[in-house]
Amino acid sequence: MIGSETMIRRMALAIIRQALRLLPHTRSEWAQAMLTEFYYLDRDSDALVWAGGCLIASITMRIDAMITGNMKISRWILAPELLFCFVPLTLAWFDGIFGMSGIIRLNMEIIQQYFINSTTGTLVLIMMLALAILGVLGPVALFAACRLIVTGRSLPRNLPAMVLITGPIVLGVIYVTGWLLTGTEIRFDHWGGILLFSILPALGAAHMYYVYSPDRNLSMTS
Amino acid sequence: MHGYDLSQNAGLKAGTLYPILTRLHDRGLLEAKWQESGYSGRPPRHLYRLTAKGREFTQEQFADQVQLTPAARLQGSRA
Repeated sequence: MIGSETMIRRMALAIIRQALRLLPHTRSEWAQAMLTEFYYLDRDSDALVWAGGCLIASITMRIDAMITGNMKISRWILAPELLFCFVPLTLAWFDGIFGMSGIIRLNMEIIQQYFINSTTGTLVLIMMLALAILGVLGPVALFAACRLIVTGRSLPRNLPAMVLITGPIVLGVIYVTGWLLTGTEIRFDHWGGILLFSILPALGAAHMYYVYSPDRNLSMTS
Repeated sequence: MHGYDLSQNAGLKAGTLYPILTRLHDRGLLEAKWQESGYSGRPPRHLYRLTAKGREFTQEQFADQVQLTPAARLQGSRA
């Protein structure tokens, strides 16, 4: 009954409204259906039980939408996954450019003194330049991921996607080669760096490209 | 029938009922439409009805269930 607004009814209504926000937008009609039934319940206890049921129904339907079994994936899972893939490379690129040892702090005198005159220095300079150039794919991929998560628009096709996938791999190869040539002992944290700045961004970009490519007729759940 | 009435008749809470209704609807077994309320000031309600395919499906399910009851099996063994 709409007229009598007891505290219990207000609480039940608040629970229902919050519960219905959990539903995917494709279920908005069902959300409305559950809400309107509430207005036909005269007893407060019925209203409260109905609200609890709506909460459980919403959670169940949300989980149904997330478990699709055909490579579709919820944005709720995609968002942290892609952030985890692209944020480390983005931060590394930012540090490589603007950090304490960033490339913008170099001048010809420093380059001549520390980098050009030795093989090791030259290789380190190449690695720094590689991070500055290829690392920019981190923020680019992060932007593409945010666009995908918010708007559902997939990664640009073919060449840009291939660059986003292969770029971090090339960066990883340059770093491993550089370490080998300079005789650096490759420790566990070096491999961690390769994983974070090379393998994960490449896998994340591949995921965006292959799973959400419109040609495969796969769409994202809300 | 409306959601709350279905819930009462089937003895199911909304949390169980609505996921079932949505799945039946997705499979084309249930038809849902909005019906204007007979009461002033209350919003239209969702009305549910089995489709022809849904009726066939339920009849098959009931038939299977009857065959599986102990009484039916007992009757079958006596025959």
